[in-house]
Amino acid sequence: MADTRSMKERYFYFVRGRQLVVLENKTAKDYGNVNNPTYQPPTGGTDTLDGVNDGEVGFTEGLLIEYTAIPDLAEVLSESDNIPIADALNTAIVDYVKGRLVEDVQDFRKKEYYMVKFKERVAKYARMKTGGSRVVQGTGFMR
Amino acid sequence: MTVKELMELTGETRFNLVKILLRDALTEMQLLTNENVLQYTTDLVNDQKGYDLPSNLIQVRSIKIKNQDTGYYSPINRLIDTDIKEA
Repeated sequence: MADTRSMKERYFYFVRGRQLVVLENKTAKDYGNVNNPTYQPPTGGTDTLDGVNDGEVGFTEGLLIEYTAIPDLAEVLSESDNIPIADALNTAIVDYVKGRLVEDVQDFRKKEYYMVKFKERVAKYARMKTGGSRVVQGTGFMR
Repeated sequence: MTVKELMELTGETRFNLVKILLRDALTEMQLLTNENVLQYTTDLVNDQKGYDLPSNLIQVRSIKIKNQDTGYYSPINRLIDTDIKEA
């Protein structure tokens, strides 16, 4: 009989160091006896994989990973290149660089000033990015 | 804003130094906001549980698995209790 569970009920993940661990919650039918673990590596898929998974089978592009990353500065090769950041954050960048430069000459008071300004500007940007009212929807049991 | 404009605003003339500080600024900024969000797909290998994450990763936001019946990617949940019996 086909597995009618949703993907959320079947698969789980967690991050272990630099690795993503994907596990499948097997049903009793799959793992046979009670001594086998319920969570096992996902099985199935008949696609012949290539690239780093050459020689293996599975589901081609079966996993979609969304993550936040450090912006890539590989494109910034000269002084005339644009900084890959939202325009609204330009002033924050200036504050950060100024803060780091005065740190080199051990002017820590100025450094703190610039770093506080940097964090304020970034926080303000993050807060303002989403418009509209900020309302929490109440439920029946909230008084 | 260009790097030259940044150099003029900060009074620094060393390009490489400014570039390194810029990279630090962007990293710091990324820790405070979720500005630079990327996605990629990878193969789901039969009987393999570990997948290497990219080196520029800061935070995993969501993981989705392709539903082979519909062709759509469905989000899956993070397992909170990692103290589990694994194969």
